[in-house]
Amino acid sequence: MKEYIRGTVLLVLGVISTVASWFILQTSIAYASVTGIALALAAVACGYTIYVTALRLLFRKRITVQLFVTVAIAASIAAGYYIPAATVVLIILAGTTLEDYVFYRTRGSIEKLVNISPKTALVRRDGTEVEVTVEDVKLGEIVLVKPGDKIPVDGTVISGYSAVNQAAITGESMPAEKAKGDQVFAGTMNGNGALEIKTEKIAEDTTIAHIIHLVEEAEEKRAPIQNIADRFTTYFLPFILILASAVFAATYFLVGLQPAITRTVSILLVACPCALGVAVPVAVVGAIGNASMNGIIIKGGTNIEKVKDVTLVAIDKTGTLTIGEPEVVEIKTLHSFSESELVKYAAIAEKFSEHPISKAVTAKATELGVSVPDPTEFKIAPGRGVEAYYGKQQILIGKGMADTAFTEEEGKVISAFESEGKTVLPVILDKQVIGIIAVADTVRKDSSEAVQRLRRLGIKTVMITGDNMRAAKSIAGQIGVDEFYAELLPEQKVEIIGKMKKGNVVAMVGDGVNDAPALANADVGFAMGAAGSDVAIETADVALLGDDLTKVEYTIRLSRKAFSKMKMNIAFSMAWNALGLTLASLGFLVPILAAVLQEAGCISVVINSALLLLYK
Amino acid sequence: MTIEKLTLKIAKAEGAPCACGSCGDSFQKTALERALMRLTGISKANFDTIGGKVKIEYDTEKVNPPKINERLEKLGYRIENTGGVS
Repeated sequence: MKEYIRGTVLLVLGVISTVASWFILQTSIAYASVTGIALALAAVACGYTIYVTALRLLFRKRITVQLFVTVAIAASIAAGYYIPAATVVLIILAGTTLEDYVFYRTRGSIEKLVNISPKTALVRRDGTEVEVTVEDVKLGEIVLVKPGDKIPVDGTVISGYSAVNQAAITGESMPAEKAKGDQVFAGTMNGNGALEIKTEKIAEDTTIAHIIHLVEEAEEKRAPIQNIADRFTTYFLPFILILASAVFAATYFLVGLQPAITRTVSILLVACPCALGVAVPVAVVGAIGNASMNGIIIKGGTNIEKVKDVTLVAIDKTGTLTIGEPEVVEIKTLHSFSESELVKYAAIAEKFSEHPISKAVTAKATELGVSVPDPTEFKIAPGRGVEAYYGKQQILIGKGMADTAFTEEEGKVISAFESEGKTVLPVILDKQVIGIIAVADTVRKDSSEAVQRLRRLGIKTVMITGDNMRAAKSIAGQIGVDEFYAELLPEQKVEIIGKMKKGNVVAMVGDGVNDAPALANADVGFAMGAAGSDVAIETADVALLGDDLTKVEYTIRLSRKAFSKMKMNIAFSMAWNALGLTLASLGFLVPILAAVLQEAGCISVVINSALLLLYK
Repeated sequence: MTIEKLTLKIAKAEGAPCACGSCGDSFQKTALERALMRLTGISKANFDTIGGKVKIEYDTEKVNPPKINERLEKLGYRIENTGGVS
């Protein structure tokens, strides 16, 4: 049974018997005192786990807080304080039950991830559709996903078209369009189209299962700050024993037995380092849970501490700040040809080429709604361009294909495009330049927003790229990074990171595969768009499952918040304990108040940490 | 489907939240139990934090002790004996 449900049941029983006990003791009916005492003791018995734990640990030669509570309760009963003893037990029970509930909720972020994976899949077998549990789907089998259903396996779309909501994995709310050849993930939500998927990974090998396991592992990893709390608790309990004995002796000789018992019991009840002990782990789980719901995997408490100190973010250009695929960015038409005519001729020539630039041109034709007939003849001139025939018309594309010099007007357009770092495609129809298409890798729409947000946190941004200086300069200008380095080989990226580390805490953001060495050399490595790549998720310190670069800033802010909560909680617990112990030693606390004080301290720390789940 | 029982003795949990063995226990207990139960083939998991023992019931066709051990170690727990069937 869930801990907090059991606690609630015991608490209700305890409260009923305590109230009954109190009423009966007020009356003068026969056996009132015996019945009343029995009921109070029954309430005390509701806290049995405390005593059992105390004795089991004592048996293992470990003195714990539960033992203090047990001794305090036993002493109160021996002194005839039945109802106060019962009340103290109930307060502690209420406190721990509430804590258990908060723990349960804090852990719940994983449960959310778990629940998104469907349990069954519709599989095509021997020509019919059968529903089987996800574990029984075989690799390579065709899974059918109806509109609005969750995708049960990782695989590749073999037919159908749909917009799939991948928020569960990537944290991005915009649906991603999926057609033949695209990768889909288990746990994501299919939109309005039906999909047929070839199974590639099932059950525990799926990306979502992988993510769940990583989050579980991350949550259990200790944060270094925890050591402060641990060192403190090691000396805490012996200190309490000495203090309690000293106060008992002093009060007994100076005031009397009665106050001596009250003060000692209060000291034992108010002393609990548990606020200290749980403050950090709950904050770690809260922060990691929050991150995982936003498509970010922070690999453990250590990384929260590292991320919070980041002063410089180095970002790879291609595929991270930019989309990584060329697109047609500008079209200049000449000789009264229209834009769609120009694109149509260009697309005819490029139709059968697999080159990324050719794909950019054909994609533009699709975007403009231009129908593209097949070329009659087609030939690639590697590194120079394309030569094609459409009927009798000759189409040449590429700067290297022109056999006569460009006119002054054409030359101006070409050099203007090139100075902006764009690749230029003159389209030549029957020896006449009919227009110039500029192709470039485009900047992601949130890149400049991401960089600005980092700047607001006082963090320096540096773009690093293997691309040429011109393209780098143009993109760096558009995004507004503080500095950039271009024409770098992978090993030079590693070197530059090393240099930046002098005087800075450096985070490196990349795709996690090509940039793996640079990521590893940085203080913190962020892998972006990691959902499809286990290697990227594995090697990064922080994996961003989607393509949203603003999540870097979010991770840094969340880590700073989490760390400040940890520090705040540790300081608060120490102060709270010191205050409680002082009041108890001086006789200002009765046991019931001591128990209330202790539980209040514990709960505020736990809730404060758990609130990280709601941080935005 | 064959169900087997397994008891593992855990040396020290790396992530043990509370040195005094007090309230943080249930935080850790539920974490470990739930993490194990999420493994395909494990139907029951009970972590006795005081005794340091985990009792597990699992389906031998879907999961095996080495796989369970690997999971526990990845979660930061060191297993003292590989444990037998009990």
